[in-house]
Amino acid sequence: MDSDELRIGVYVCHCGLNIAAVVDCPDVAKASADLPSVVVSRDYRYMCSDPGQEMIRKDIAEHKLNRVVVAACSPRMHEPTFRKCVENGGINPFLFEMANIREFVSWCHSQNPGEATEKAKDLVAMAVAKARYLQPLDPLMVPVTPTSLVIGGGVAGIHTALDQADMGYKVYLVERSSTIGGKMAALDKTFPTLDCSICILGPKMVEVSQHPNIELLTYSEVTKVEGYIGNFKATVHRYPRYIDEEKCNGCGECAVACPIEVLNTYEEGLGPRKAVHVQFPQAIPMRYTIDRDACIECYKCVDVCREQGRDAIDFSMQPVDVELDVGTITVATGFDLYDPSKVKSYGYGLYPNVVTAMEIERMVNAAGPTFGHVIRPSDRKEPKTVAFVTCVGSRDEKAQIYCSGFCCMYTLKNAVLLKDHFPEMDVYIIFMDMRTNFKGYEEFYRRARDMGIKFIRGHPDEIFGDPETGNLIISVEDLSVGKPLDLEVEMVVLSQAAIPSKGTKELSQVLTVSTDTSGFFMESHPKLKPVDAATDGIYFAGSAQGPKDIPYSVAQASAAASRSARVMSHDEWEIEPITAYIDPEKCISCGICVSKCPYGAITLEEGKPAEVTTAKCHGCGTCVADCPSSAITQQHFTDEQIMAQIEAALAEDPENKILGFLCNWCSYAGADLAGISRHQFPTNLRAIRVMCSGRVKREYVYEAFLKGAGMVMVSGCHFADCHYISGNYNAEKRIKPLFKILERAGITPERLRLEWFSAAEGEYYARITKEMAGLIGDLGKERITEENEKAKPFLERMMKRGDSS
Amino acid sequence: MKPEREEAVRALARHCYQCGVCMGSCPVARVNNGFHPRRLVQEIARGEWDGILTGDAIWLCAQCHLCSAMCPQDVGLSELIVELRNIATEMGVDPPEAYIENMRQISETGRLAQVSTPVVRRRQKLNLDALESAAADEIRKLVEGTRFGRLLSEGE
Repeated sequence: MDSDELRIGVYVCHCGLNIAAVVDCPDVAKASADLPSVVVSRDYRYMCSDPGQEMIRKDIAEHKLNRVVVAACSPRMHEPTFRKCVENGGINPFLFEMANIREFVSWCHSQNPGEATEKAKDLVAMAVAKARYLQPLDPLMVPVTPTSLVIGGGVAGIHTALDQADMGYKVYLVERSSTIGGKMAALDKTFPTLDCSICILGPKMVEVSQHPNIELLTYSEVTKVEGYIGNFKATVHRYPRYIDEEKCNGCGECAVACPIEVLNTYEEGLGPRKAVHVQFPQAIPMRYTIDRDACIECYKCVDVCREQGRDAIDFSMQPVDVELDVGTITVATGFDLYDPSKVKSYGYGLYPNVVTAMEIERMVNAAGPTFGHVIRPSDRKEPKTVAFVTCVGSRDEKAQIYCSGFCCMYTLKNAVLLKDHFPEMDVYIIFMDMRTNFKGYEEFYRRARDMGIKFIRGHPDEIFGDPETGNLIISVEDLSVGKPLDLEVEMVVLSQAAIPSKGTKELSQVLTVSTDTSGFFMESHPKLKPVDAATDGIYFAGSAQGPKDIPYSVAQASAAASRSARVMSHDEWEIEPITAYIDPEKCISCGICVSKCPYGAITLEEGKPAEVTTAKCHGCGTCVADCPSSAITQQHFTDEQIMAQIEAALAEDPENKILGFLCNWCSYAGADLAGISRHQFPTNLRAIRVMCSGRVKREYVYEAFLKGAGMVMVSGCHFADCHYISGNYNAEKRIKPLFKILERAGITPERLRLEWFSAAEGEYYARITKEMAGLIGDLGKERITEENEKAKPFLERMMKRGDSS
Repeated sequence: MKPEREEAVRALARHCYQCGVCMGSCPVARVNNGFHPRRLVQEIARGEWDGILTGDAIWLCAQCHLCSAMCPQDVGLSELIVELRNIATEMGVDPPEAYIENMRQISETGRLAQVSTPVVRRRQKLNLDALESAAADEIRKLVEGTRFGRLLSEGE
């Protein structure tokens, strides 16, 4: 194909009425026809449908198109679809560009069709401007290590590991605690069929320990992860057990000899354990651990272990770091339970007979600290009346705003167990809504009612303790009769909310993946990529991604195993060739790029130009923005392309516009979310997507104001959340001094914004866009034009300096 | 009522999922069947203004703020009730006589209830200090500065 003559096709999608109800799509297509190099422009109901794609392929052949622009949804949704489509049509997939007129226009400006249509035209013009400079690129193939890392050994991690291992992949299963099993190992029974929890989980745990493909690393944490899909390098920090796992056979003589007893956290502190211990009899690996915080170093255990002829105890053991090469990572770190003592009105911690769901779980268990007897902590008597309270810390603006999902069911289960074991007991459940929406759950609720459990709809405003009797008085409105009630019971059980497990934030930073507003790991797409992280090659299973019950966690575990096998089953995996390359003619061998690259992908030998190792380059573009001689180019995000987008965005009425640079991973996704959530805000912002805020050059800001922009926003991920480790730090270092520099040149510094927001902060993006539009309104077009005019000589000088170097 | 003002009140009430914590915690509801905070929120959310603004319920609240403090959805019923009282008076609905009497009492004497002679006598018997007189002048000035002060003076 003749590459000298540009022939661009533009396709405006209606997305049914998702776009067309707000944006005048035929008008946008009509306006696009006048853009330079556009030879065909059309609008159609569903561009992503077969006929829509066929239309593009036909036009490529008929009109000899060599660039394609589709104005539709977010490129995070359908860019891969259309790349494939143009490739099938016979042109390089990287000669395609997308304009986001759904999430960025119709969904967030639905009250303002006129301005929305104008914005859509601008976004198409920007995409066409970029398309004119697009270059064909060859896909980059990277090798895949067919090995998996699973973080967290609860029921989800166990199932992911077993599925992957059965498929023939080597699996490292890392667990922070001294045994696998997680929360499920501490449960008595499971709903809705009342299987004994450890009886069904135990065999799976044994299977893990015996599987030839699984290497278990307990008492260990993942502290560092580098690399990318197919080629991760993880550092696992192994805490010392002070007992040699190879020599110990789990005989337990050491624990018999140990004189120190402390509260057993596995038993919710209701029973004792020794300083040298296993958490529970079915622990895997069945290897003892010395709790050095409790140990008095009497060495009785050492003596008895020697007598057994094992000599497994070693007090000189040190933590070790192990490095693992893996192709995929699955995060299955589970959840923690909310501490109800945070809300005084529930009385937990104030009155001994207010207990948690996990405490009653251990009491009901025949192998638990009370051997299956339910007793009141205050007087060890069996209570005759027990009330369960749901939504403790859930659905509460002051605690967790979300519904934890499984508490209704575990409350029913515990109530049924009590009623079953002690038929004479009066059992109450105080609930707001009863959520029993999966197979067999509603039937279980009916079973609970049939057993005579008393249900009171309402939520306690306060629980008082009677110091004489140890009884509790629950103040609650009985909603069904609309009257306040003081219910006296002998024991209260609180159904705590599920919260992100301790260390979730830290692990999210190690993996550079996002968490949502509730603190759980955030999936790539809530419906279509529910177990994928935004980072390729990382997957989620179980409650790490949000509260889940056992069946749901196991289903997700198998989903994560399958998603990761999709990668591990290949020798090579295709990644986007959006890497950087250095022009040896322009390079002055200053070495700045070497120090900025977070991946050590750039090397510099003395007297020679710097060089990028393409396989190591992740494509953030930070080196490009910091190169003083403009010698570095990022493919598919070149200076020419971005400058063309700036020019197109500010072609008309620039004083009224906000030029926004949005990083692909957090800010762009956050802005998408604002649209998906239908937040409404003014139409001023014109967004340019870059892979990382670190890619944004100062020259882009200068150029924007030279072209008359009302405002400029540079945005990226929150610090420590950067997808490229340090890109946003570099962006801050580069952009922050501009506030003063621009002020000196005569530009109100507030007209430049540096913003950090996550993929979960759509509402924040809507808010700051409103603020910025407000500032433009307050300053007024006249003042903005005046300021830009005044700064012009300075800005031109700065741009020239950028050119000449 | 101005639509924006109506919307601001209803928007907060719409957060309510009818758990009844306001009702359970309300000290007035325990002694007065005519006051049902949870139902009041529902009526506000539905916009049943006639009953709300002309009825006694909004004047029965003791403004202890327990419901606002305990509400899991941050409805802020105490604050809503103040706004509804303002709206009602601005629309020309007079508060119940007893409420006006209470307020007049405060603005004149600085006390919600008069200290009766038997109370004074009993305090003496128990060797308690004599009650200090409330700073009625200051309180009057404060009341005069409020909308309610203007309402009182209009009534006179």
